[in-house]
Amino acid sequence: MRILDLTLKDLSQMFRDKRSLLFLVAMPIVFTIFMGFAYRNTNDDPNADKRIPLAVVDPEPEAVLNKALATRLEASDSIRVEKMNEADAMDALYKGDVAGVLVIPLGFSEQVSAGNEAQLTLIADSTTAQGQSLYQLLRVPVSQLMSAVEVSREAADMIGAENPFVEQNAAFELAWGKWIETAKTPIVRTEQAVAEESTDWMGGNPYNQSSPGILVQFAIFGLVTSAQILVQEKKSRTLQRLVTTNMKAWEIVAGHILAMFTITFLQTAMLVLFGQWILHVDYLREPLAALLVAVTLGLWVSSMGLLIGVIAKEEQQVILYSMIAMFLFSAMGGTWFPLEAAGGTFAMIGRAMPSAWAMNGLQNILIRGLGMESVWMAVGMLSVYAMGFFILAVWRFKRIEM
Amino acid sequence: MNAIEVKNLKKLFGDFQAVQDANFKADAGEVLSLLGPNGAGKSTTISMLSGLLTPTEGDAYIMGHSVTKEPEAAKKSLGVVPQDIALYPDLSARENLVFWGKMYGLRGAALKQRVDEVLEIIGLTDRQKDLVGKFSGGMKRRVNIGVALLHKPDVVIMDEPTVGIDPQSRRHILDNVKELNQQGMTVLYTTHYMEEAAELSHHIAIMDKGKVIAYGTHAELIKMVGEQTRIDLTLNTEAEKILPMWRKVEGVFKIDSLDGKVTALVDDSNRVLPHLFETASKANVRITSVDIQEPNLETVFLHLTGRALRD
Amino acid sequence: MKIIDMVLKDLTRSFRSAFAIGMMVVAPLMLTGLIYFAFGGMSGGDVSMTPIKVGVVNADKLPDDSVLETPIGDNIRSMFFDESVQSWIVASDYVDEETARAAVNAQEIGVAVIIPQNFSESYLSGEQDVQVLIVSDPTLSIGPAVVEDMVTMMIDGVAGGGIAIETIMERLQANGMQPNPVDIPAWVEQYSNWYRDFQRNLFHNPEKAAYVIVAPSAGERETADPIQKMMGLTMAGQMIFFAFFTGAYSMMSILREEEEGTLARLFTTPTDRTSILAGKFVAVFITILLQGIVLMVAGHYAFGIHWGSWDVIALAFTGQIVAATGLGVLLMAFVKSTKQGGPVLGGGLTALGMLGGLFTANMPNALPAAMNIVANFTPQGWVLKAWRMVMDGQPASDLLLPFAVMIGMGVVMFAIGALMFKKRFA
Repeated sequence: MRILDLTLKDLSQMFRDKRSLLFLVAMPIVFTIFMGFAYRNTNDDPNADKRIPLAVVDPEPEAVLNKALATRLEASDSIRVEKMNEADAMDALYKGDVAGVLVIPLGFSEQVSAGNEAQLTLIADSTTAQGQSLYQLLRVPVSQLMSAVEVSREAADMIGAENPFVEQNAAFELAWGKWIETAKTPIVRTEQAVAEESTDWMGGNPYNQSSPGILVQFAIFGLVTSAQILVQEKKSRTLQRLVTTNMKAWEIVAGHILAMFTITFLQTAMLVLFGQWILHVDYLREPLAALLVAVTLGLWVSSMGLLIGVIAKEEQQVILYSMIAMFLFSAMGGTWFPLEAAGGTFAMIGRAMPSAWAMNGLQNILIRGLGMESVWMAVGMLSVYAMGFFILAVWRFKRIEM
Repeated sequence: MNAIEVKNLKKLFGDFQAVQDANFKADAGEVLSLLGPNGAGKSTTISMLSGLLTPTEGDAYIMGHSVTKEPEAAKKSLGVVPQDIALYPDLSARENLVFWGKMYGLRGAALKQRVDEVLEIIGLTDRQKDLVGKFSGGMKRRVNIGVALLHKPDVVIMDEPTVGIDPQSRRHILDNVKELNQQGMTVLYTTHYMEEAAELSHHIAIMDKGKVIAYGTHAELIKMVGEQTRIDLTLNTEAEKILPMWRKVEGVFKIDSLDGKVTALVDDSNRVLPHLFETASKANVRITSVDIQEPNLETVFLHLTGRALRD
Repeated sequence: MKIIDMVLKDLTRSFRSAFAIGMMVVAPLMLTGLIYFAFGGMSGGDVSMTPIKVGVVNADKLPDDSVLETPIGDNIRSMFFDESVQSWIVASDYVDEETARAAVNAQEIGVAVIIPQNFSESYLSGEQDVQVLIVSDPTLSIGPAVVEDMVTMMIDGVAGGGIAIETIMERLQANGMQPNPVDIPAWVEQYSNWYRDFQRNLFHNPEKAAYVIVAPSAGERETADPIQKMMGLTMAGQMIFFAFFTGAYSMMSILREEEEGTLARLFTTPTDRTSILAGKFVAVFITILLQGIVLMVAGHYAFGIHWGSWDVIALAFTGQIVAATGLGVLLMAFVKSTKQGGPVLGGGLTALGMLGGLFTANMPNALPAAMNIVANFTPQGWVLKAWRMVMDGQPASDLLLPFAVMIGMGVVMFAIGALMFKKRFA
């Protein structure tokens, strides 16, 4: 009973701090919405042009290869071609009106047809999604164009016509036509392994990616408020006073950790419900699985909060340690960027992080569309981490100089 | 010239009159105590004198300089020891003194020498490089006082400097005040401990509810009480039951209770005391101790306000 | 002189505070270090990404009379088991589509490549609906894209060979010549050799590649290394965010002094209040300046970031300091206590940083245009814009506009904040 009294005392202190509460509540919601923008399609208007704008600098638009490439690109569903001179094209690139500039050098068609080297240059920011996409999208038609040229040269060589130039052109048109036909029927089909039908890799909803990441990240930061209560108790010596009562050490620890867990769980629950009702992120398609992940996430975070509260001597140290924990676990756990994009060692360490396990559990529900069985591993690992931090915290608590 | 002169000083916070028409003065080289219970207006008065608050009406003068019209000149002559510790906990004792010395206009070798002197005065030369945040409460108070002395002010205001500290440190501070005064410094000392006021002061101004209700030397104030004697009684129960009855006993001028102790002002203790016992007996109240006192400042306060000083 | 005393006092306190040092220097370096740890090893072509786990289901079989020696499916399969890709692809065989899909669901593999039965035969006969199916973990994007690329390239190679054969034969016939089937392997070999060299140059030899991507920077020290550029943007984002944090936190010292009682004590000294405030403002400015220098130097030596030439750095840096000082003064002018200051620091600055694009610095076009417009109303947005231009190697003349905006915003915010403080304390 006294444990509950201590918990309620902590909770009443936390709820009195309205501004911190606002931070706990409003910030993750705002972040979720914002980061959802970063993942969604640029707009949902079916009539809007979603093609990536590409400026093409072509000094010889009537040259055979130039014309063939231009025609192919202009027919693309993914690229919107705008023909410009180089100065205008670079200007457009800097302004962000186009995502890249394809420069076809002078004499390109003639040189390549003759078997000499000539280089097409795409000027784009390869660190951006659009830049990378442009590179990939252009690679196929360019490869096929070059293939058609090679085939035409082989054919012309073999035929040994009087006018090899004419023959090569004819062979090129033939080979290129075949490539265009081939390109109409994709040989490779990709599919996401989701348990339910979905239209894109987000599981149909861009917030499926941002919501769990923000949820995990802010659950960690939320422990600032609860850890500070413990620090304030130490500083005001009310903790020492508690120890002089006949309350046992484990009861004091239990009371505090229960309060921390309650706050973390309430925040997580609020974000889940916000995601569910406002953003249509379907956490509750597997309510028990979502609940288990939320509970074990709360246990891990609160035991870590207890450790921070025990170690820190001042409120500012709580903020510092909490922010470091948030950054470390968030970055390494895959909430900021997918671990598959990171280096091998980083990703290996990251996957072992409790935050990564929490993300894994939530993604299994949201994106993979899986059920209860898919969260057991995550729940187990989070519980192990919770226990580990708790043991550390209790050990350290006993060493506090009263 | 008076070192401190307060003329018709008033301070209003909205409708609340924190200080009403305060008038008192301190001669150069004397200790003036401002005595009164919590909430009497002492700190507000001090704040106006030290330039933290602007008076609503009236003015005050430090070494002849008006605090409203010549604040900088007034401050140059004034050192302030605030009630709460006002030091930088993450700077050492020396660093605190050096900084504050600079704020008072000291520089170079003069500053260095003065800091050394003050460290000696407050007895912290050995700990000068330690961070103030690590000091005990008493040590912090000493540095707190030391800061006010750096520029050798003519006037020092000390705002309840002995609140909440151990008897030894308290003794040390009181001795310091006497020493400073012997060196020629005028001290304005606010307190709600009447024994401090009695021990230290040349003059005492008693404040209550924003007003200066009495001003004079210790002897002059005691004389106000006349021939009245003070009797302190301790009861075995709450005093509320018996007070109304005792008020009706002939010879009782004033009677009040605080923290289980009853204080009464009577004309003749020999004659009144038996009546008090008789009334108590009838009311089934047992008197567990009796103490007959010569009039003191507490008696004066009770006489003037009808309340015990520590209310 | 007293202003300098107060500045020195504030700087001493700041640099003794573990929290201040932690937030000013350690946190941004740590965050950048994390990103460097995650991606830095990939700089310069050293690929050390997490291996992609690929499961292959190869049901392709050739009929007895097939012109091919090995099924296309075998070639596709062997691509994933080749020694040359073992460092970044871990391949395993699966008996059928069902087990492969189950493995994807269980996250044993990230991508399943399912080659249907009779793929080769159907493909060569020109069937329209023959396809290789790639089933991927929906939380992955890089692995599936890489696998799709590899399969497409392989099949394009096969398709190219087929087109070569058809084209040569048709052109021979058009010229009245009879194609000799015996020659076909030679044609295929010639084409395959060309295709192999072409692909190799494309991926490994940018000087000889028929198609390259270059960064849009024009400076002398432009880095074509996208990872380097990403590190630079990340460090810039961190530096900007924490510069603004430092500005507000340093200014919060005035609230701390109010609560400590030392501000009141300062007011009892013969030091005019304007000087006291001025001392605070100067301390904020210098703290941000020193912090920025430390971070830039650390970024250069620890992470190899090339910031740019001195003139453009000076413009961006000065604008950053003025803007951060101004915003710090303004924000704290609205705050009554250090307790209130906490959420303003944490929440307010984070929100402004977000709107300014600091958290999406490496994916600028992912945000709707409206968000980019919103960024123009935040000082952080303009500072980021300036640093982007610095890293893109743009000349100083191009930076004049963002510089002017940063200075203007900083001065206006400072003026409003200073006025509020003066009203409050003076």
